[in-house]
Parts: sequence; C-alpha cells; structure tokens
Amino acid sequence: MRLGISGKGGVGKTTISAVLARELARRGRTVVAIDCDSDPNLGASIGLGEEGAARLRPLLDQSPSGRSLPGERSARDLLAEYGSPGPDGVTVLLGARVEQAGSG
Amino acid sequence: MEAGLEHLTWAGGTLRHVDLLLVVLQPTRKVLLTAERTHRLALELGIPDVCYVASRAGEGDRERFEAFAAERGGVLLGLIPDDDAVRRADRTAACVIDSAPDAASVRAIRQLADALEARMAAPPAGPGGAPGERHPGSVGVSHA
Repeated sequence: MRLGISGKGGVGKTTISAVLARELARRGRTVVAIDCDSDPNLGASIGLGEEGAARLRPLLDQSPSGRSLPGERSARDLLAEYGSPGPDGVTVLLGARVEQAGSG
Repeated sequence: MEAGLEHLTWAGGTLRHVDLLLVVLQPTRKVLLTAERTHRLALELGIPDVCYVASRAGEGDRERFEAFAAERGGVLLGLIPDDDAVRRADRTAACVIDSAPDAASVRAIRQLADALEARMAAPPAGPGGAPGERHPGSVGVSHA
C-alpha cells in the first residue's frame, strides 16, 4: 500500500509518520519512508540520529548548475543507491533538501 | 507555495500516486482550511481515498473531526492526544516509540495503524475509481 501523509505545517505529520512507519515495520511489513519535505527531518524522527539523517542523499540533486533527478532505473536499484536503513528495518528515502538560498 | 500543500503541487504532485492520503487535522480553523484545500487537490489528482487523523486532540474534539471527515466522504482513522513524551523525544531528535513505547501518543498511533490496515484491506470505491495494485505486504509512507 502507498500511503501519503499531509497537513498544515506543525500539525505533527513527521511524528505520526515516523511512529507509523516503525509500527508497520514491526508488524512485518516492508516499509519505505519517503520524506518529501524540502526541509526534511523524517530521518531523524524515525531514529537515524542527526548524523545519520544528515548523510541521507536526496533524490533531487540541486547543484548550482541545475536540478536533476536520477535517470530511469528500477525501484529496487533506486532504494539500493539512495535508501538508508533505519530502526526496525525501515528504509528512509529523501526527496530533496534545500542546501542553498534560492533553491528548493 | 502554501504551507502544507507543496507535496500535492511540487514536482507535479509527488503524492498523486498514493492509494490513501491521510490528512492530519488539529482543532484550529487554519488547519481545517488547509485540510479542505488538500481534500480538493486530492480529488483533482484522482487519489482514491482521503482519510483523516486528528493530532494533539482530545476526545472532546472527536465529533467535530468525524463530521469534518464525513462531509468530505472520508473517515477519521485516529485521534492522537497531545503528549509530553513527544516533546521530550523531540528535544533529542529521538523517536517516541523508542523513548516512551507505552506513551499515549504511541498507543494511539498503533490504533491508527490498525485502522489504516483495515481501510486498506477493504477500501471504498473512491472518487478516483477502482484502486490500483496495493502492494500487499509492503508499505511506502511518504510525507511532506
């Protein structure tokens, strides 16, 4: 199942997403948690730690020369390259991270 | 872009491919206005099922949120109480499921997981038509 979680800023999306991802993984599901926020913190909330979360490599590459997404490849390959293993076996994936003013 | 709507518009709507969109509510007018806009965008995108969860809410808010959900053809799948355990976990960037596994908020999110699994197992015929393949046994939780 593909589940999206949305709501106004500050309502608790990240906390609910993190606990839900962990809980569903404990129930035996294969969970991929994707942070689509440009100021992401789902990784840290899931329990990667601040350093682990900082090491996440976003799918959207935003270099000064322009933005690019990974080329065509299977979901399995994308997860292997960009996914980070977290507690309870949750795989964390990052959509984008704004590194510079004027991007995002 | 408006706070809370980016993921439905940014990059062509990164959440358009979900089977179920869970909209987080809180008992404030501004949050409910965002939820209303989200509901309309989700319909436009053809998301088959839009449901709701109340955050930092008490039992006294349940009726109001259930009515809000029902008016939009969805259901309230959970009510997560305001919880100091979450604030304590946030101070150290811990997950509350680790720091306080029996906290009221964690118990409520377990109930939310029950409700979500039941809803996914027997989805309604949503406005987007028949739901697609649901990848049993795996789940992608995406959020913004």
